[in-house]
Amino acid sequence: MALADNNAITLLLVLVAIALVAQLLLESRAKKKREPKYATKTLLKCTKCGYTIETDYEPGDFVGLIKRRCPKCGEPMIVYGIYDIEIKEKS
Amino acid sequence: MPGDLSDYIVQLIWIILFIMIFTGASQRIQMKIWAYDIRNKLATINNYLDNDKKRVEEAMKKLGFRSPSLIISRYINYFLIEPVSIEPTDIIRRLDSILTTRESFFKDTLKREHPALGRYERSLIESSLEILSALNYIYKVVRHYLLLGEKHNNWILLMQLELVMPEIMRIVETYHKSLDSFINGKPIGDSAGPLLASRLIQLGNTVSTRIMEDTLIAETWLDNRRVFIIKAEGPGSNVGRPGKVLKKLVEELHGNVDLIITVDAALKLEGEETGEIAEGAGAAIGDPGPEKIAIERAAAQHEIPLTAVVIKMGLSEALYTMKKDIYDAVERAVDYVRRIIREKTGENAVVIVAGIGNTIGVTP
Repeated sequence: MALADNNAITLLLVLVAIALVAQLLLESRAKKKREPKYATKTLLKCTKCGYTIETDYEPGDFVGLIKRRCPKCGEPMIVYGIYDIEIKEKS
Repeated sequence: MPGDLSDYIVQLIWIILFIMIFTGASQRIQMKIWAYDIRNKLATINNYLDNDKKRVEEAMKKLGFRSPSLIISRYINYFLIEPVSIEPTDIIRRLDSILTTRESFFKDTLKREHPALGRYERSLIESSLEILSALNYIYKVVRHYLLLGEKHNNWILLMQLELVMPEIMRIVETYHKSLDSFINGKPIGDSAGPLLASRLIQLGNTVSTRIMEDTLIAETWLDNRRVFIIKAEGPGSNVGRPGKVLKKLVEELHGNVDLIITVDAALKLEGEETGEIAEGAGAAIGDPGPEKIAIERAAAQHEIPLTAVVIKMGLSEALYTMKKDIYDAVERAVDYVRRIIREKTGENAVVIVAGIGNTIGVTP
């Protein structure tokens, strides 16, 4: 009877140890989040009518740069803002 | 009989475990596991450093530098010795002198190596080299403590290092990923202050602008107040000298200033939202001391109210390309600052607004 109890305790200890290791592994895997991806955008604003366009960032862009003509009124457009937006991946 | 054998095995395991505990063998095993993990992370830091060195080298070659690797190796080993603090007299002046020497070294060396290079491009290379320098320093310090811990079997040292490694890796990854913004000249989260200053200049009726110590002063009329806007001169990677310039400006105005507002990006606490705007008293500026004390002294000497407005963000957000959340927060902060000016001063009052931070990708 005592022998059977000992074996049962050993088995229980082994199972608890396996469960703990499994829990640790699962936890460490769950922590690896997929990092969000970003795209840099340039916001252009017309100096006269205030019309805005968001375009892809091009090297050399900076806030305050006069870049192109407004498609609505033909006046110069300045780079009003440069920022990163998150790209939502299709799952 | 099989039951007896299993009893012996279990007892043997317990005896071995006890021996390991009392002889310190378990600690040695633990130490090896920590050292293995730190070594892996150190290899990652080294890998980042090598990749970033190659990127900066390529960028420098494209700009026409003849021996970029030599310049890089000279830059990344440049160090700074802090002034004696046991005797605090003149410590700010001494610290300022040391910081100026360091800044001049970075600027002048690049100028000498490539005199034809424009200021904008030179500032981007300077900042990229500063990132390399920071990564190199972290790599060397971590390696030092790892080797020291192993050499003296100092498990406490290794344990401490292992515990701080996640934080160190977070900083290393932030520096590594921020290189893209600095090489390309994109505005970063820390550019929030200069961007706000730039907006105020656009909104107001600007009377004059001038440059003093890489810092722009724009005199403008905004909401019927005479507003002096201070920001680093853009669009290169530059933080300017906002403190010194503000102090000189206050002296020029004979202290006749009704309000000083400093606007800066501030590190948020865990749980706080990115882009949160907060108002407080004091100078919002994260320099080692000389610039901040200059603002505080100017305000205290002439009893000018000193208001701080901060835009909250994480360390990585401050160094990466400006996120849309932060950009939107800057737009909100513009209205916030204008409301403060209207609430705290009357018409025709003189106000100074300093947009603190790196003006990379933001002009004027």
